[in-house]
Amino acid sequence: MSLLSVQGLSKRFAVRGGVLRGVKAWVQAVNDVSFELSAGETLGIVGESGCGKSTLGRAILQLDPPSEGQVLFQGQSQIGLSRRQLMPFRRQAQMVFQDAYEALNARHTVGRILIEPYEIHGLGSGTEREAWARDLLARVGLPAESFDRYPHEFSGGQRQRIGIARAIALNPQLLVCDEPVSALDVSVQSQIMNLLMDLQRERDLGMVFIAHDLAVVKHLSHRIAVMYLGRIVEMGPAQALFERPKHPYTRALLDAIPTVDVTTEQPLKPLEGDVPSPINMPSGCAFRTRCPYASEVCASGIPALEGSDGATAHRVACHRAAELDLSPGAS
Amino acid sequence: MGGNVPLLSVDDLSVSFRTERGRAAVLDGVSFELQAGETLGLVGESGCGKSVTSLGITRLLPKPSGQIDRGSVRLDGQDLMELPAFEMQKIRGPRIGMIFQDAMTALNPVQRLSRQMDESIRLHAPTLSRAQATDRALELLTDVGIPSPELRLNDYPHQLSGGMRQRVMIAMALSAEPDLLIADEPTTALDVTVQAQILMLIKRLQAERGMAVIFITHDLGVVAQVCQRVAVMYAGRIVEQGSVASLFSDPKHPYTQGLFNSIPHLDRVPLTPLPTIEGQVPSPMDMPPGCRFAPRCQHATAACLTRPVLQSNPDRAVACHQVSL
Ligand SMILES: Nc1ncnc2c1ncn2[C@@H]1O[C@H](COP(=O)(O)OP(=O)(O)OP(=O)(O)O)[C@@H](O)[C@H]1O
Ligand SMILES: Nc1ncnc2c1ncn2[C@@H]1O[C@H](COP(=O)(O)OP(=O)(O)OP(=O)(O)O)[C@@H](O)[C@H]1O
Ligand SMILES: [Mg+2]
Ligand SMILES: [Mg+2]
Repeated sequence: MSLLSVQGLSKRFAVRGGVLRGVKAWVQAVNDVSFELSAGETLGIVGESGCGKSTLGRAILQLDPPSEGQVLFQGQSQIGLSRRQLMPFRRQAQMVFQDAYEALNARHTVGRILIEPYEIHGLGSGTEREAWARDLLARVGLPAESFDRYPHEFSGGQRQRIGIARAIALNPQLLVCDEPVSALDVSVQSQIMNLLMDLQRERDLGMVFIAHDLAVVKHLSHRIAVMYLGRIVEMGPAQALFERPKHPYTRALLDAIPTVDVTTEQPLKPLEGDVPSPINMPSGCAFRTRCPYASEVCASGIPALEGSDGATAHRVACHRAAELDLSPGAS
Repeated sequence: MGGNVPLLSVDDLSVSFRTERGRAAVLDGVSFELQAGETLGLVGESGCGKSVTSLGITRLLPKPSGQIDRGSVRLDGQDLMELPAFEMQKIRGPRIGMIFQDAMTALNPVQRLSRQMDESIRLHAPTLSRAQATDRALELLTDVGIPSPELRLNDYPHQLSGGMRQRVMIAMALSAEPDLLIADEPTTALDVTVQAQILMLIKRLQAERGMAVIFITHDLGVVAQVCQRVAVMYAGRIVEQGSVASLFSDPKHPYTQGLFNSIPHLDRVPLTPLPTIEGQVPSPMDMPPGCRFAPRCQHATAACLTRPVLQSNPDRAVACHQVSL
């Protein structure tokens, strides 16, 4: 049984406008997303800014209820439950938020922020809670004196680490990390990635890891899902996806990775073409307005995510996948 | 570099915070210069003082806890520290544009984007009508790659994705056409293709208008792509500075070397431990004497208990007892 099973998950937001602020349109932020995650496994999620990664993370954890679809955690549906019924899931499934400052209570000291999860779930005595909280600070590489300080007294990257400490406080089985290391310098980033890999090994932690740094995602992930405009357009084992990308959008991402090589000129490689909007989706394949390989067939319907099943499956949603060779090196 | 006055000259900038536990000296003698049209990358350990440097330059340190202890900041030769507050307000926006690290704290959560953008555009160009300002806002949002901008103007910040908020802030900072742009982690929430689009936009404005940029980032690949020079900070001081071409091919300071060793590479064996710099950054309440990196440095000797002087040649400056230029 998978740790987490996401089936046909969708999330829409209303766009209001006009004098009466009536619903003018819908933002289709997440569209029919399905995947399985095993204990001890990391699924990396990458994709264009605004494609629905954070919304997907929040919908999985029921922080925002999904519009459609099913979320099973250890085989149990988590959809439509009351706050109380959700408590066991909340204890075992945690999120590291993209915007750390927003997620931390500005009026509480760091110590209080870290003790709170134990209080909510009635774990330990007062002294135990404090000792656990201090231990968390050390694990994320923050000095002991941070305990009595307030979030605004920290730098961006230090705050991000407070968010990570809070998320791992309850020894979750599932961690959804939304850009957890993008605010950190590369050395602290490596420390945090090592910590996450250790936790995964010790506790068989399942992780959904959202990030835009492809080297980071590749290092941590067993499998990777690439999203474009609310949908998964390619999903497969990390290695295969980097060596043999099958979707033109994945290939564009790989081509745009900056490197520290200063011996050769690095051209900037943005995507050309009209940026499609989740409010006003193009017909057919959503990527076709920017795809160098688009042809008539691409307007003919939404391509399904196709390929074999199972843990090593490499699947793609592209009408022309069979004809294209997108491996780096091929042109 | 010629004898002309630099656009920006920061000299010996030192900042401390008053906290409940005493005074925290966060910046200690930061100095650098920037010419018009030039891009300087500012990199370094999380918490080393990059954001505080930019807040010091623009005099936006939180009051009353943050204070400038020493130093000067000159823009075209004029000392910003001496300016009365209302004059400084005129500098921010049209002369020095800021993209803040924390988009959510910089945007007003209870105002629609239309109102916030209108304000920042008309502050710079008061003669524009409301309709003209809206057109300009749409143009700017399109430049930063926001789809359906006319519908987005109705949104509140929380309705945008992290990367969209970041791009709205970039659009607002650019709307005032500043001579100097201080961009604090402007692309952390952007995927690589949108990031490339933003970097191209900034480069275009530099070529067209000679805008100078201080680019604060953790992404050394981005520094390689857009910066001419780079300054590396550690615990409140600049420890190494130089042209990107020279510093990236031969980093000299042990901290810079440690930083470069930790860069994530695509060809590392997945799921194996990554190299890090052992130990922790010192607390600003309790800085080690002498070289602040010494407690974590493999090359440290007794000499490192005294403050290293900054050695420099035209191409590079480094503050370390163990290297010579
Ligand atoms: N509360 C909300 N109300 C209305 N629209 C929203 C809301 N939250 C998100 N959206 C919209 O849903 C879409 C997806 O947003 P989401 O934050 O999930 O993107 P993302 O992939 O995380 O992007 P980024 O990489 O920039 O963080 C965007 O168009 C966004 O504007
Ligand atoms: N308001 C404040 N009160 C007390 N200390 C502060 C305050 N703001 C920042 N600091 C401290 O000043 C130091 C420098 O912070 P700064 O935000 O400049 O770091 P940074 O280099 O930008 O880091 P990051 O890369 O994580 O954003 C940190 O040690 C931080 O804890
Ligand atoms: Mg997001
Ligand atoms: Mg900062």
